[in-house]
Amino acid sequence: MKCERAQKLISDRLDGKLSSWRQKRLDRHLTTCEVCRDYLLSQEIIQREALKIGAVDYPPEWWRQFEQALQAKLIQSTPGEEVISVLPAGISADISDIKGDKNSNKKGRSWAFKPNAMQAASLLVVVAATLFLIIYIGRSKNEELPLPLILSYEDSYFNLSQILAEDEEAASNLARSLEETIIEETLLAGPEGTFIDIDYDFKTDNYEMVPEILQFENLNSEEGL
Amino acid sequence: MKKSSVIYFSIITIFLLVSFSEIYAQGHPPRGNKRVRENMFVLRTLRMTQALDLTEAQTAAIFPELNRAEKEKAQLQADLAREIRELRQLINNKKVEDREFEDRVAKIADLREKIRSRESEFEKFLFTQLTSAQKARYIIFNIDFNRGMMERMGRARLAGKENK
Amino acid sequence: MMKADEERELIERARRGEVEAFMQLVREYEHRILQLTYNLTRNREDAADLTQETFLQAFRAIKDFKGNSSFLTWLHRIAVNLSLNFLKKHRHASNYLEDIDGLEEKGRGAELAEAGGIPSVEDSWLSQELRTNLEKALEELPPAFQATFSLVVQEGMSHKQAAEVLGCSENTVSWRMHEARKMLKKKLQPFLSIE
Repeated sequence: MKCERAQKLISDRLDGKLSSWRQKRLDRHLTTCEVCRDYLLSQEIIQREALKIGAVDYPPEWWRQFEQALQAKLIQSTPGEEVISVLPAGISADISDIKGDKNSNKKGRSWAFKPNAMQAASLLVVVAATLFLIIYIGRSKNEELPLPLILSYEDSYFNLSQILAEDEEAASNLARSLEETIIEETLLAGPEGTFIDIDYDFKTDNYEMVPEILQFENLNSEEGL
Repeated sequence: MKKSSVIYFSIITIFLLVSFSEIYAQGHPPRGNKRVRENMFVLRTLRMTQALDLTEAQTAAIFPELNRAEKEKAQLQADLAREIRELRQLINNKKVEDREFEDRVAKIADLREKIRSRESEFEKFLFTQLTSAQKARYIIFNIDFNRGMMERMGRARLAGKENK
Repeated sequence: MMKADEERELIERARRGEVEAFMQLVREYEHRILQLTYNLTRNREDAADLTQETFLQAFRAIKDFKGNSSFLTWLHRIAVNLSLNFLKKHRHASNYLEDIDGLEEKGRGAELAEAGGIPSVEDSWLSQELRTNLEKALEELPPAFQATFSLVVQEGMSHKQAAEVLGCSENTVSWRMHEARKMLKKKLQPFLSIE
């Protein structure tokens, strides 16, 4: 197992997310890899210290004042207003009612949108037109899109490849990550969670792996990757 | 030999064969995107086999067509990517005639249609080999796999930026 | 701790505009939300403001709460979004000398002494150095990574729970935790090697 992979498993272990068979693989790696043992120890220390970072607390009087101030602000929000959308966090909105309703008390962050009949009718027409365009014009001339194509792997791949076309490094990173996953899921894990018991001959400085996997790595090297 | 071992062995064999395939190498080392394509194919095949719980008989029927479809679609995707690259270069060139643009756009539309058509053809064939439950699982598997790949790509891009 | 049906009833009443019902929910969760916003901002005043804003937004949006997640998870989500937006706008190079001045003003002498290197009864000086620098390193994490680390380690959430709050997948949480830990270790290496 490469150390990068082992260190990812260490992170999962600290969060209680490691399956028992991955735990065994990690333990096996740790018995022979001092670098990763040190890494585990460091992360355990960081975790322990992070938990000690001060709990914030205030005296009861502070909380009373906090609650009173909050309650006052809540009461100020006009109770009769219809709030029909949730504001994106951090964005203020100050919208005046179109009719200049005296009851609208829109200070700071609140929305109120009460469409009149004309606006509602216009909205309905726009929505209907959009649906028409999508369903009738967007359709192919011959037939409806088959169900699987709505969830097309090839379309998804196309999007991905267009992004990666401009980022060779990301493409390499992605290819490498996929290779590691393939190796892990096929060579090292059987279908029921058991796995082929491979005796790794690890040296702590260069992480040599068993011949079959090394051969696979060499294939990529020969291809100049 | 266990059924599962046969399946996994087959997948690894495909993986190694694809790595050496002339279609991908064409005398040059595969670039990043091609490696991605190859690896995605193998991982997708592996996971699909598990997700659908394919029997030996099913894999024997499906895999040959899967390989054929993959070779064709991979070539089409590579051609499409090349056409788009060339179109990008042409777009800002004021000396290019409208006719040239028309031809390029038509070619790209044609390639897209061929990819979709081939994908649809394979999936129609696949569905003839699957039970109803497996078809349902295939839909969900497809969604999850596509989403997983986009997330993985996001991480790969971020890893690259942080290393700089 | 409030029972589930009691909470549901309060939510229903709050939906109808009953402020007092909502205030009971506030009292139930205010400590946790404050702790979360403090973990993210490391500033008491900012944390208090963000906590108040979280509850204000929650009250305004409570009609949109469908109950697909728990109420606390929903509150967490609002608090994290507000805090991340705040951090993106106001993040500045962490100067922990300013933080120490702040501590002095608030009379947190013991913490000041510890941060200044005077050993406390409980912890060694080295551990205090590490903790001080860990706080700084946490602040310097990219906001999304900081939020993820805070939720998982300091709030004790599982990856699944944190994913629900952050609106991402479990895999993304898992990956962010790994990357955050690598970044923290890199920054804290001088302090870790001594231990």
